[in-house]
Amino acid sequence: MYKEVLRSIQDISLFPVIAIVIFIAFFTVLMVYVIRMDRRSVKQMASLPLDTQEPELTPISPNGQMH
Amino acid sequence: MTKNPSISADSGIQTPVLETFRYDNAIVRNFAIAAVFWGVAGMLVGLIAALQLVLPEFALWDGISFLSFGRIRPLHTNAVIFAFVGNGIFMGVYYSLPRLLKAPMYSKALSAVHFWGWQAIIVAALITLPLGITTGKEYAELEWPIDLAITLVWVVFGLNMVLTMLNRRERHLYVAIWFYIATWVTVAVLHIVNSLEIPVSLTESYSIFAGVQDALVQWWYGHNAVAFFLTTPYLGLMYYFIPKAANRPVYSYRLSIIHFWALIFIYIWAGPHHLLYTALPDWAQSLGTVFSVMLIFPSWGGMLNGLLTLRGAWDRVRNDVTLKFMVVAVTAYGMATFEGPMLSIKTVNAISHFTDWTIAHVHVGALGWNGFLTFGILYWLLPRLFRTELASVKLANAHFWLGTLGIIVYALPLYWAGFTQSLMWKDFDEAGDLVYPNFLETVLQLVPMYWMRAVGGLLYLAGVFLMIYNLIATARRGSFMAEEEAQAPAMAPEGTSGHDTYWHRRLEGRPMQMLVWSLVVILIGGIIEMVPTFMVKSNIPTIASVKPYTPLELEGRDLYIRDGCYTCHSQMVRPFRSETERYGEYSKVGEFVYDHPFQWGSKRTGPDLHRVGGKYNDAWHFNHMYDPRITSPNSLMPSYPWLLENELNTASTADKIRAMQALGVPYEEGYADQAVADLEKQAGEIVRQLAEQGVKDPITGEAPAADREIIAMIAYLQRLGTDIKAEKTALK
Repeated sequence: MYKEVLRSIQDISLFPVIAIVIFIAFFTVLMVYVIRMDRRSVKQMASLPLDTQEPELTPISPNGQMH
Repeated sequence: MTKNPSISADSGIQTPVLETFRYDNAIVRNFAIAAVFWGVAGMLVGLIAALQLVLPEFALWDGISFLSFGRIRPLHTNAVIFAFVGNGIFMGVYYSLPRLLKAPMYSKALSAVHFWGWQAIIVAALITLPLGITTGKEYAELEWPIDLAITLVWVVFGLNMVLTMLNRRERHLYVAIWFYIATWVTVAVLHIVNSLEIPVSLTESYSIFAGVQDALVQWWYGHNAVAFFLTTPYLGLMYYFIPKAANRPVYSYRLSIIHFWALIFIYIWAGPHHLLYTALPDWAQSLGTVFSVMLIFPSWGGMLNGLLTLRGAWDRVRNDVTLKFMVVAVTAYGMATFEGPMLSIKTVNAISHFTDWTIAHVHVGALGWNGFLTFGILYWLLPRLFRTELASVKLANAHFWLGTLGIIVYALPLYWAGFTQSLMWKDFDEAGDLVYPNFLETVLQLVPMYWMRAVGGLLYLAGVFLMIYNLIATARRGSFMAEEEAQAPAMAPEGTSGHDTYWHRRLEGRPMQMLVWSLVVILIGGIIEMVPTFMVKSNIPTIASVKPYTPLELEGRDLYIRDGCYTCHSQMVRPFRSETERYGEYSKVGEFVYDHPFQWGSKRTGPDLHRVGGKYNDAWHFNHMYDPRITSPNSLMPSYPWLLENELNTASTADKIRAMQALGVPYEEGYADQAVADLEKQAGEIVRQLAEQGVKDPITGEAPAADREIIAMIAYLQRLGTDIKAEKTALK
């Protein structure tokens, strides 16, 4: 049944072609971009979370109790 | 310590002027408390639900409507997903986002509205779900006024995030923020589309979609609730908190970019894998399978990226309890995302679907990935908010082992249960008959596994209580820093950073474009899957003999939804011999065209009900609903005495018919006005038959009254799946 439904759509044979083109284009562009990225800026972006330092923690005193 | 990342060290031309600002830690602490509080609540409800399956007659819940399994189970899932994980997401976002952008959250007022609004929604869920106020769509059970509130609060959250981004001092949006943006935009789309419903009253509504279309929308939503509520925001947290806890940058930033785009591009297509072998068109099922299998690549890429961040620091995992939790969390993510694609392969799904295998699978994700990542973050975060070391590393380690053991004791028996039951369903003897024709036999086989699962849950919850004690002790010892001062230079104007202006770099620097592109990417999959299923509506094989429900059946259906019958019963006979032998003719797409919402279910703790109509007489149903053990000894089903006690509310029956007409259900013009009269007539007929069958109301000792809820329930159950029995299937 679904085959008849799909066949009734005009130029249905183009759909899978469009799909694969979108798909390959999407990942090709992504790969090209990632490979071409500037090494220095990658490093800089990767270190963004470590850019802010949390305040020092007060260590537990030797006789420190749980309360 | 702050530095200016936008001015390279060798430019040396200008000395940046440092601006001073304050991060709001109070909101982070509040979301942390809320996450833990609701986490305990959600897990406790889960434990109760687990015990109800093995002790259905326990006095604490037997016969109490608002504690029955069908109403408690949605409370458990909603609490864990939206209350526990939801508050966990916000805790992590409100901590990491301002620090990554070097700017405080835009508005404390918006933060407060977000916090209290979200908690109010959770309380509303806590009240309405046990009362049976539900839409009957899994993980989207909340009724329309709450849906509106969710939309508003979500917009507040988004506004607060975007305005913070526009005020930032760091040009680049770190990859964690992309995950937050994609989460926000996708959850908004999912929530709005799946919640499209037509209100009948303040507490009742009907999904505007019916049958197969409703199923497709629901599981597009349901799967992507997993993807964009339980996964992408937590991946953002992973990309922030693992580097923080390990004090080293992520393994590969390039891989994280591929991870992000590939994940959001592929995830959105995978929903139909919840509907394999159902009446959903085959091409949509295949699409779901193909994309689900592909998902393993970005998922495992991301998992490896998280784990490899610890390269060269694995010795620290032995000593650092935060890292222990995070490593197990990411490993659980890897296991669940290996299993997911596998379960989407049709031959595997034929075995796993409707069994406890699915329950085991989601709990590896929920307990392992979401739970352990949340705990890891809490153990890292709380000491920093309270500026002291963790009160007891020993207790935290005990929590780690209790939790890990809990996950194993929970999941393994349920995998066993899933295989066991599925094989029993499909077992034929030499004569070609079912070896276990009585469904109940296949359930009772699982009782030991259900007990072990409850023990696993208890262990896990016990660990959480250790954590709460430990975190409170930590908070008491330290002093809370409600605001944290920080300094950073204002954002340098574009082009001064000395780097290229390649398109993706520009995209990273523009949150609004990021948002729009994420939206475009996630819409592609949804549109391609849904539009044909909706456009070809006229081509869905309609069946001439399928008629709208009578008013009494419609009321009965609403009771079926109210009491959460769909949490244990499917209405979808798959085209397998093992199912057609057991239940009858397999389900056709045309049989569900008037089902607003669909009730196909996702789990069979009890048998499929699509062909239950006419299988038993009315007296059987009457006794079975009053106490299932009268008709089915040792049954695990709750008893529903309130159906015999409650008078059927027909105040909104006419409005329900009108709502259905508005949705295109072909009742005759003006039928709403005679609906109640018809309802009473049909109820009278059922009561007459019950009397003939010698049924006495066990509460009053007299013949059953026609105005009770049980009569509507019987009418609905007896109608189920009978339309195509009446006539030969006729394709229009």
